[in-house]
Amino acid sequence: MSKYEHHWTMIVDLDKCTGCQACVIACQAENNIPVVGEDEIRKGRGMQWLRIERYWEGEYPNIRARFIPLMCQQCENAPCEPVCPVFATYHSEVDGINVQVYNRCIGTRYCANNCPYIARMFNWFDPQFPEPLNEQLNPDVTVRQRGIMEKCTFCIQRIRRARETAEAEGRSIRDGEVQPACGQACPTNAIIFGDLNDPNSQVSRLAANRRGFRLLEELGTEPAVIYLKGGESNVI
Amino acid sequence: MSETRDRRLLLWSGAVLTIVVIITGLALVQIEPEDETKINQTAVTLPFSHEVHTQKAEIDCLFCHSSALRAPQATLPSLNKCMICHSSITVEDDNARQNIEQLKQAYENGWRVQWPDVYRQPDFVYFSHRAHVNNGVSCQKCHGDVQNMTLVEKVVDMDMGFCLDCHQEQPEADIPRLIDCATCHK
Ligand code: HEC
Ligand code: HEC
Ligand code: HEC
Ligand code: HEC
Ligand code: HEC
Repeated sequence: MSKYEHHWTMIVDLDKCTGCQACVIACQAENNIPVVGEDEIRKGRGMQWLRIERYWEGEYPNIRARFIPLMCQQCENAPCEPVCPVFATYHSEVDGINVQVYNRCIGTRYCANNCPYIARMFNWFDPQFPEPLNEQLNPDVTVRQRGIMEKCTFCIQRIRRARETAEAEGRSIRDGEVQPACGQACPTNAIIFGDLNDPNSQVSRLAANRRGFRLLEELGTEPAVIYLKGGESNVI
Repeated sequence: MSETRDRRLLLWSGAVLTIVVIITGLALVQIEPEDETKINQTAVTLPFSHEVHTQKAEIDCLFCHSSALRAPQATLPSLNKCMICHSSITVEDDNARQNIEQLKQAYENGWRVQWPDVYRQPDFVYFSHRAHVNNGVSCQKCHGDVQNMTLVEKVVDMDMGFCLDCHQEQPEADIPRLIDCATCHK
């Protein structure tokens, strides 16, 4: 049991990930992330809270593709937090995740420089949502302006909504009630989300799996994203 | 020779006729919806009194702002809702009758009503009526004495300090959650 009210945790089963990118698209739509185009991506100014890292293993014809969906790892010891001069990024005592307060952010980009996972994205320009894309903006998520840092929030707007519903119905949040957009879109259920404080939750059971590991564990960041090692099934 | 000319003539007149038919068709289709949207977009304002409805007629706030218990937005009533009562109520007062005539006219013509925007939070703020109304925070705490107003006027400045002052007075166990930036900022 951790010190948080909820300890939101994500499990990514690499044996199930086919690299289809459905999660990437779902994330883009849910969180009002603009599409910046090839030129910007080439300059390293892409906007993606969630991306699929692809690795090739072996030599043709015995070659195999491996995929790792990568998003903000919601580190317990987050390197981004102490370097923010205005406290725009901090650790939530309620949800145990790393929060970015957009209206507080002044765009120093120290946090992104300190992030070992390259999970933080900076708005170099005002985002463009040409017609009819503006019609599908999610009202629960602010459209970030130029000069603001942003990143995966574990779909905190969905956590907020679930908390309010549970409270109105006088119960606690059920396991599986909060599902981030990526997990909802995943056709193979490779992304599971839930509360590590609840010993019976799906994530608590999966976290004990012997395939489990965290990215760059040696840095001591203690991510809240746990990957389950992929075996032989990713053969192409 | 003349046979080919006849055929050419036939072809040409056929083509011209088809084009004329298509253009008229398009024009008709174009004109129809354009006029309709024009009517629907004439936004009108109507007279309305909170005092008459909540004190004289003793209607509950939640009858008209019916989502306040269930959703983030309280919502404004549609004209259909006004007509639940006003299709049958008769009033003595001339002025009141005239005001109600305006309502009926707007309803019957399907006009869109544009009520003034009174309380609006900036885009980066998350606010929810459901969380407050279910926890016994009265409408008047935040909106003032609406029951004495005609159209609602802004009497409370709901800045961040206003929200936090009350959140700090809640039971100790709830305070960390209620003052967490992510609770109100999205
Ligand atoms: C804790 C403060 C608070 C309480 C209590 C409260 N409101 Fe509000 N109300 C607000 C704020 C803040 C806004 C602006 C919301 C926005 O811009 O998203 C608002 C907006 C509104 C609106 C217009 C926008 C909408 O949500 O449809 C109506 C109507 C309204 N309130 C009615 C009510 C009624 C009726 C009650 C009592 C049942 C009530 N409010 C209780 C703070 C409050
Ligand atoms: C639950 C019933 C009810 C609903 C719903 C209702 N009204 Fe009324 N309304 C009344 C009653 C009762 C009176 C007072 C009649 C009298 O003066 O005796 C009244 C009076 C009025 C008057 C005349 C008052 C004046 O002095 O100008 C207007 C205008 C009016 N209503 C408009 C509206 C509009 C617009 C709506 C929808 C937003 C609405 N009403 C919804 C019951 C209702
Ligand atoms: C008969 C229906 C009716 C009832 C009952 C009613 N209202 Fe309203 N309310 C309206 C309408 C119509 C408007 C839009 C016109 C205006 O702004 O006054 C409105 C507007 C408001 C607004 C301003 C919304 C904005 O844009 O910010 C608030 C706040 C509000 N009402 C609160 C209340 C409270 C509190 C009560 C109970 C004391 C109440 N209302 C009862 C119909 C009603
Ligand atoms: C008069 C007191 C009061 C005021 C003013 C007030 N709140 Fe609240 N707020 C509460 C109470 C009581 C709760 C419910 C506490 C609980 O759930 O334990 C609450 C809950 C909330 C919640 C839901 C929290 C959750 O996790 O369920 C949000 C969001 C919120 N308030 C935002 C605001 C904002 C934004 C403002 C200012 C515009 C505001 N509040 C003003 C008393 C107030
Ligand atoms: C109870 C709700 C609530 C909480 C908790 C809250 N805020 Fe706010 N905040 C607001 C509201 C409402 C406004 C908009 C005020 C206005 O319109 O004047 C605001 C405005 C701001 C602004 C001004 C933005 C601008 O451009 O004007 C900043 C900066 C800000 N908040 C930062 C924070 C930080 C940092 C935290 C956490 C330590 C926090 N807020 C916690 C409700 C809240």
